[in-house]
Amino acid sequence: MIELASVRPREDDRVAELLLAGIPEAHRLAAWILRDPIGAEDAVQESLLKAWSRRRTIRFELGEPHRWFMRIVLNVCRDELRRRRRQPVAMTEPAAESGWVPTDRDDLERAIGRLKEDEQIVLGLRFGRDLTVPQIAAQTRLPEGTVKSRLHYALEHVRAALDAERRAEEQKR
Amino acid sequence: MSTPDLETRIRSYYRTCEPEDSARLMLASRALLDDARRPQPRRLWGSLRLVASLAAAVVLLAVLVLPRLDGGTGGYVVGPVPGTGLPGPTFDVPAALNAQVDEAGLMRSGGIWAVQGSYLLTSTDNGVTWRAGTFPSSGFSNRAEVFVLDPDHAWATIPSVVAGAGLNAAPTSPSQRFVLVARTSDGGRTWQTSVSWIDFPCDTATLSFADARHGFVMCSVGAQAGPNGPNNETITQATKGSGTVLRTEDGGASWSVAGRAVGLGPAFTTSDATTLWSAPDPSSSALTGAALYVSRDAGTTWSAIDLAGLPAAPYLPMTDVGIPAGPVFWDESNGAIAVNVFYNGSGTPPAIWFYRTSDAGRSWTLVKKPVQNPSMGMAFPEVLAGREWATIWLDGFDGVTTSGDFGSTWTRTPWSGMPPNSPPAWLDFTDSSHAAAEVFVGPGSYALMLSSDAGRTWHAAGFGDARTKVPADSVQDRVTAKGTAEEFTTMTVKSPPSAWGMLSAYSQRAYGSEAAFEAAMVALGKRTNYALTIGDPTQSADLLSQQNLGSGAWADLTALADMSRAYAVAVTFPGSSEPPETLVIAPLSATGGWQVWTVTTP
Repeated sequence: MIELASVRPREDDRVAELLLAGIPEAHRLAAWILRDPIGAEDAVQESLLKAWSRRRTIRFELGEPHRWFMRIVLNVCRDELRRRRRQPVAMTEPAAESGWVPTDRDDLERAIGRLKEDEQIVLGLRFGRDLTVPQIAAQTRLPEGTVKSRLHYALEHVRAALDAERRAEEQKR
Repeated sequence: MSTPDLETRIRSYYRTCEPEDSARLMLASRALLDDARRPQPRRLWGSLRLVASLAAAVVLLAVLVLPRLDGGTGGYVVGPVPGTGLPGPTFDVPAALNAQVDEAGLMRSGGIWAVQGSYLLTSTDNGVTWRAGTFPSSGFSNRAEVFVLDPDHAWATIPSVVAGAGLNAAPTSPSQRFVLVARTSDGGRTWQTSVSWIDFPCDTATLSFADARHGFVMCSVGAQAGPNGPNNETITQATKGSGTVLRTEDGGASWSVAGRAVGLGPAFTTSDATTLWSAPDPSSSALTGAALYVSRDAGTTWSAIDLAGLPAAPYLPMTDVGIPAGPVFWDESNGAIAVNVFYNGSGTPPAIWFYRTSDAGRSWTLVKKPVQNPSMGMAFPEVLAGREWATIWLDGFDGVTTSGDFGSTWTRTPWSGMPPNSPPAWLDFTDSSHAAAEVFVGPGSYALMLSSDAGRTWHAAGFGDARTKVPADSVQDRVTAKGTAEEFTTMTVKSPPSAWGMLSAYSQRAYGSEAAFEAAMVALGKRTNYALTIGDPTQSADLLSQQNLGSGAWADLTALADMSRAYAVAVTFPGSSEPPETLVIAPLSATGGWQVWTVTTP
């Protein structure tokens, strides 16, 4: 029986530069998925440390260290979305605030915030990052069909949430 | 609302989320990375051989530390692995800390090896019992590559340069670079070193031995992306990887250049004394179109192997073709290899391609149509070929997916006992039920985990008292150990953060914080006279010897202590008008029967 010699390139300088070069893209990606500037910065830094600690596994991904880093960012963001869902931030009832004027941004933000984590991710990749379905499939390593259906359901869920809000508003009036 | 309207709204909403500027984050990230790159605890194992530098003293008596770790279980023992719902064991951090390793792998003869600081540990019974020898860690702990043939024979190598010449720079004159190979034929009791001067670049020097005499070093240089990043438009400007093969026929005492070729990568293996296989790194194979190379004349000439059916070069943009492991041969003629093909942007799912040979690798047949990645999550897929031909797809953070029939069927095994949200750095099967893995356990630290139920439940390796049985005459490299200790002493004065970084994770926990460490260093620096006591922390009354130490403390300590081993340093200060103080130097991560050197003020 034969196995390959254990290979762990420790080209730390190279890895560090690759990771730093990916920061702006990671920042945008996290901002689109988390939709929260502070959370996005935290997620990027957490991803950076995760990637650094796992640089020994980078050989498996040597063809695309950048994509590898972005997948770590996606995973960190997904964990953060999941954490938020478990510990929902108290949402102020918009109508309770004086002078509050509903905007496109607010109802969309709430609607997207209620989606499942994976739906929020495909939405961010599709409409924030502006990736095509095959590109999302490649980035997330999901089958294209899964991406398509996830995107479809995400849009349906956003639409349903917006409709529900509109009906609730109409009832109040 | 029609879909286009909704999509337009969503798109414009996302535009409001885009950050304006990443400059500040960039600066913060650079600082963060600089911080992470300071000397890490795992290097300390190799380097902090004996911080007999009394000034290096540290904090809490080791025996006081362990109960603390165990007592505060809430902080260290993590709950059931998320997502599995299994009632299995939780990840036991104190146990994992005791199983910290610098490197680990499978021996060619079977069994598991691990390097822990200045110890080489081997097990031929899947981790039930361990045999320990020394490892020349100082100078080898960073960038060392290790090959273990059997419990007796092991080699370690490191490419290096004479000061002033960069590793990747073209040599300006001969004899600026060298490859160091250390070898043992008695299980680490003694090591010998050979130096080969080279006049070619060598980023990574990997090792493979066919038997105790015939072996090879692959000096490889990785493929480099073009100036515009890793994407396809730069392929034409990127450089291919290459390798130079060094050969020995006397077990590593002398080495000569056998040959070199474009495309050779650091992952290579020998199937006999004259046949070598080399898998390029994925970026190199994307450039050359070749996924496997063979040499049948002991590394002199190389040719690419045709793996029928793989996409022809030039590959699609951003296509990865990689062989992270293999080929695996189960006799002279029969073998198999798994190839990981990942197309980015083509819509084709990532797949594992399986090939078999029955003519010693002269021809390869595609066994199965490409098998789609069975993992449905965002994971870090890795294809590995173990001894029993278990093909493994690391399935994210909570299990493995294995196939024993070239991907026809897959078994997904959720696991418990592993750290949550962290994929192993290495995982392999020694047989169909026993597996070993290296997991991330703390900043810069990795622990060896074992499973005896095909990866379902995992526990930290227990090295038992193997390390205390290392023969007393296996002391090596005292000069380096002394240098390291002196460097540490200097660091505690000049750069306390660096000294803190040299401490093991174990010692860092003992201090609690960098500030506490610095305070202890300051307190210790005021002391000029000590009494040295050797004892056992588990039986503190049983003191073996005692000696007064003056300014020549180092010499006194070396006379008493085994300077070949890795030690954590812990200090308390008993008695006197000052807070009680005791200096304890203990083997790192040892369990029971520690040797301890205690210094008390007279």
